[in-house]
Amino acid sequence: MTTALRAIGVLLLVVATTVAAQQQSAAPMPDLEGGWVRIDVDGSGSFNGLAAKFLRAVLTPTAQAAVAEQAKRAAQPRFDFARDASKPKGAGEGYVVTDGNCTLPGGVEPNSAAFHLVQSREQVLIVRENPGLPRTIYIDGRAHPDLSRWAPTAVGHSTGRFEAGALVVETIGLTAGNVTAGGWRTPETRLTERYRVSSDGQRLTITYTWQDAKVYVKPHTYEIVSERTPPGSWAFESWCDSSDPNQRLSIVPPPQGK
Amino acid sequence: MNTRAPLLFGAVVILLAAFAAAPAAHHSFAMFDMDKDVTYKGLVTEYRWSNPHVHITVEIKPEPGVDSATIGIWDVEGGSMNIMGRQGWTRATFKAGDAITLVGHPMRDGSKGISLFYVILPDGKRLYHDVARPKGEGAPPKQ
Amino acid sequence: MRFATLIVIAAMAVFGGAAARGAVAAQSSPDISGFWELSFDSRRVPAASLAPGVTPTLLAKQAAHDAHAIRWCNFLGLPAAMDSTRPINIRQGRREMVINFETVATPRHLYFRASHPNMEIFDPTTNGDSIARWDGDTLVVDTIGFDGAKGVTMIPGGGYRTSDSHLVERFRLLNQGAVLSLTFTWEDAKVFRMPHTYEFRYVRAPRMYEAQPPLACNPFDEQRAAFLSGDRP
Repeated sequence: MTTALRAIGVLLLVVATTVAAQQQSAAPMPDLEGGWVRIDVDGSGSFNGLAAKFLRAVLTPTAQAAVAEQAKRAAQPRFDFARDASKPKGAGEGYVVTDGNCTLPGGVEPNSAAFHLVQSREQVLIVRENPGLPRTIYIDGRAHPDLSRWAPTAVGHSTGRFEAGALVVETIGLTAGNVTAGGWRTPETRLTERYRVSSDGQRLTITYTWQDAKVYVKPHTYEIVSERTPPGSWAFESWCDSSDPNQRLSIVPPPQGK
Repeated sequence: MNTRAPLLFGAVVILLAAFAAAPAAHHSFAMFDMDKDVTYKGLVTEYRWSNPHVHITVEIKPEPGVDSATIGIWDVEGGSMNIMGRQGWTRATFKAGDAITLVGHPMRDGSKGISLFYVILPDGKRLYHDVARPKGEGAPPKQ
Repeated sequence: MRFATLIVIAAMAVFGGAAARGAVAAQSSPDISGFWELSFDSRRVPAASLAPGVTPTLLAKQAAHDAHAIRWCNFLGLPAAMDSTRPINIRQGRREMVINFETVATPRHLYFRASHPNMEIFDPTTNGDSIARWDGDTLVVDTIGFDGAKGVTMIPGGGYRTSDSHLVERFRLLNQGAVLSLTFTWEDAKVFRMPHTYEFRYVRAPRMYEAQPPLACNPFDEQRAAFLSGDRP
């Protein structure tokens, strides 16, 4: 009888210890859910300068050539923002600065618009308030698709896991193009992001690390910090209508005086 | 060693770059002198809360203390409604007739256009156009 | 005696924990997260009873408005976004549920909160403002704040969305979670004589479904524009 009781006792202790260990490893995930707006940690002076203090990417010669080629294309004069500054427009003549297209690809990083994260069991979904593709981050254990059968997009294919209090996201399959702070990417380039929330739940720090032996001499890393939107706030819709002539315009100098 | 592989990779990269989507979240600011912060004080004659950009028409009259370079009627361009909304703006922030003090970047070609940086409200609070802050005035990250 | 005490403590740890977890599970609501799609037999839509003021002229004007929205790839908004040809992605979080679409539509945010924002400063949208609550196993969603001048406004069964429209939706899982029933009830005194209700039944997409980029919509595609306007090719 005593032996049997001891055996039961040991068994119960083992079970209790296992349950406790499981509860420990299933520790609460970071609370990423909600609306977030990027903040200017460095005091950049203007939107153009937000990444000025990021360490510049160190690229392979081939990737440097790709960046230079892209820069040449981007420098082609387009619209009125490239016009001769010695010939200002007159009153009522609007400066045309876009083609009015409302469909924008977006990207993996936040811009000045808010973004919203929602966490469900199998997926973390990130949607933007500006036009752009959503980011579907699969946390159900699935693998990336075969890139030979994947059409690259501005947001690629993302899988995620929770690790040491952070959401870790791995992305491949991005369209080729520029990366912040002088970087470059191809569909094979791997982006690893770590999403961490401050202890008071109000700040979200996302660390971006780009790796690709054909593009980077060493991993290219930078951080973007965002602040949670206030309680009770709601998502905004960024209305756009390509039929509206104003969609193409920036400044329209007003008539002066009487 | 296969020397053709890097060349082939380079060709593929450049070819892919030709099809890379140009990020166009908003238009270029090249028309504006973004390194110049100018303060303008005047009256709102129109506050247009709409996309793609919020526009404020501001009249600055010649008065004592007014910088003569700022006199005139200006089109002040802000951001989209949702970007400015996240910085505290609403459709009720201004109306015609309101006094306004703003800091912005003038057009390079001298025409009466301004890219808004921020406005200074009567209580001294600033409403920024987007996430950017003046140099040296960034928010420190929390732990 | 000491060993007997250890046995009791261990037993309490095991069975007490199990009871607590069971209590938590019993309190939690259904989770309707998933990719959901409509099939050819997914819709039960009766004819709406329209208000006397909704004349054929008015309906034609509204149809022209919607044709313009489609031609120029405007955001669809409600109710059109909920009836697209691709699965909708519903993600249920703690504070809100987001519904994302693989078409020209902004995502919907359904907030688990008790009241709508101040409509004096709320900028109306194609999707309106939605608040949600659980009523047993049914998610009840209340939406106001529509912009009647934007997007595709036509409502299945007749009528159209205006800035005064009020929509109540009821989401309920059926068939052990394989089917999502969604009833839409529209109220708008300018448009409907009485509340107009219809039901969609979405089928859950396969578990390994991969979200797709939205179907392309190029407003500057002249062939497309000619096709939509009925011009001969």
